[in-house]
Amino acid sequence: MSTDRELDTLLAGAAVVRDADLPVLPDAFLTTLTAEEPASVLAARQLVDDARRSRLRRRPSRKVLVRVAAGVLAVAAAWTAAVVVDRPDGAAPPVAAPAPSQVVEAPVDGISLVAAERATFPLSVDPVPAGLTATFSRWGGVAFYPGQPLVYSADYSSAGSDRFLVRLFPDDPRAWPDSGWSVDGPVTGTVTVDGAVTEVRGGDGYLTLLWERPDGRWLQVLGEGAYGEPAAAVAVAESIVDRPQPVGLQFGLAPAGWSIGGYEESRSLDLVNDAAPEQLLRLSLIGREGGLTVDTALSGTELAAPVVPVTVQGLDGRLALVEGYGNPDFWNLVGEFADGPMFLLVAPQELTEEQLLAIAEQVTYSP
Amino acid sequence: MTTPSRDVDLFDRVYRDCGTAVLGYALRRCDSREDALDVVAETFAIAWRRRTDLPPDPGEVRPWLFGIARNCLANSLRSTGRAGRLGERLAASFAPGAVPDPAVLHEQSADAGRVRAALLELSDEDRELLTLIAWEGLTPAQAAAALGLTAGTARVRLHRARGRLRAALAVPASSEETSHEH
Repeated sequence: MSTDRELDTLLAGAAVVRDADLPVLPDAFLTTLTAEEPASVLAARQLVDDARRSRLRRRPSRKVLVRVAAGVLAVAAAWTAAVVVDRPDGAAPPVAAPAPSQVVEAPVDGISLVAAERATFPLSVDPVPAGLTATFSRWGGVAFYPGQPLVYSADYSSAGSDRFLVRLFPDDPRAWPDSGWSVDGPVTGTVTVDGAVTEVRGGDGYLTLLWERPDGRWLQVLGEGAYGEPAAAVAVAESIVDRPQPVGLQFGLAPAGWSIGGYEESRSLDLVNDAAPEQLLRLSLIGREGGLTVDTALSGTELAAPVVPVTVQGLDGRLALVEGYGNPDFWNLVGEFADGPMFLLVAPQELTEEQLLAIAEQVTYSP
Repeated sequence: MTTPSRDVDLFDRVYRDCGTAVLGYALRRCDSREDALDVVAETFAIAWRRRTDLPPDPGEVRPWLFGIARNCLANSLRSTGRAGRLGERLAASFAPGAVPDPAVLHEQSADAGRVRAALLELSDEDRELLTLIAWEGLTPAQAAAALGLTAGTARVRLHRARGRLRAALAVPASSEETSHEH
């Protein structure tokens, strides 16, 4: 039997690195951090950054399959008001965001932005028990994550200890080499779910059910607290229906030819380029721990160009090109949802600044 | 509020006293030494810029730093880009071989691998709550501060997170575990 202390001992053993075995941080790096740069060096660096940024706008994409044309995007309808905050050097042209739900066409050989595929979780629980809130995850199944099968997971949690997970697998997870899906414990019994023989695994306060669907996919219900009892878990299992439901984060616009790559606990959402699977566009929520703000969210990031104040969805945001150092540079855009959390968009440089702003303007979040 | 020179002195002391703890924090959560050094470099770069916010209470500094480090972990696509110059400078400042490679260490223990796989089944916040206490030695109250939670909320979530980890490990709970805090 495992006490909290025994569990912490198990955890401690998994740390694999002990502070006592590590060196102190070098004084030389402290000097690097705290050295003040003369104003002339800062000014020269700013000029170099501005010139480099100007070259970046005209430089063709490094990718053969995805080419980005220089210049301003042509749009099918009227722009919304251009609302970029003036940059400190006062030389910035306004960067406008397109009206919602518009197809934003680049010049002939560039990327188009189209209405995004809606991110959904393929199943629903009907009815959802009172007092539970759901978050959704999707992993694998795309070339960006080679060799990882597509797994969907819904987490229905209460404020207390009652909780259940619903997981959908493409085939029998017991046969997978990575058995990290709670399927390697002993079977303690069987029940029947919608006529299917269902394996039961469990212990004190928790239980898992695993069965094969008629379409060959496999479902798992993991229950804790009140849902760790067989009757309650079976009731959940039998309430699962093939009805897609939206996940919290959504893109409104996406690059043409890009698809959903995955999502994590309804707090991050990926799009991947079908033609170039190494390219990923990620939308994620940012916490405000430690007093983090839109203004400080990019602090410490090594940049290829200065941070640009922008306005996204009517609120302050920040846009920066992050230094790739041997890998392609990539965009970071920080924004905020009204009365909600901050968000971060990470995107490859193949998207232009204007495209990224257009995408940011149409991301949404429903908690 | 401290004076600028006191801010610098305080930062120096924090860097020397807590630097190894932040390095350990990063190595325990990153797949490579280079990623971990990027996180450490970014964390202290941010801490330097925000040195006027440094908590004066020594018991609050590590949670504050770990909160920054956690955001540094989350705020970049490390698979596609390196935070770069600062991380490389930090790496160059160490003697060769001084910093272990977590990729090598993770492969050396099957039990550790099993626990880590189980941890991955938890939510990010549950995992961080458990590991801040088990790996970084924070109290539940300090872990709560690092995650921006109240101490009461953290206690409830910690109890729940332990239950979830037990389920993921298929390890039954002890009969000694009693109260359910709601």
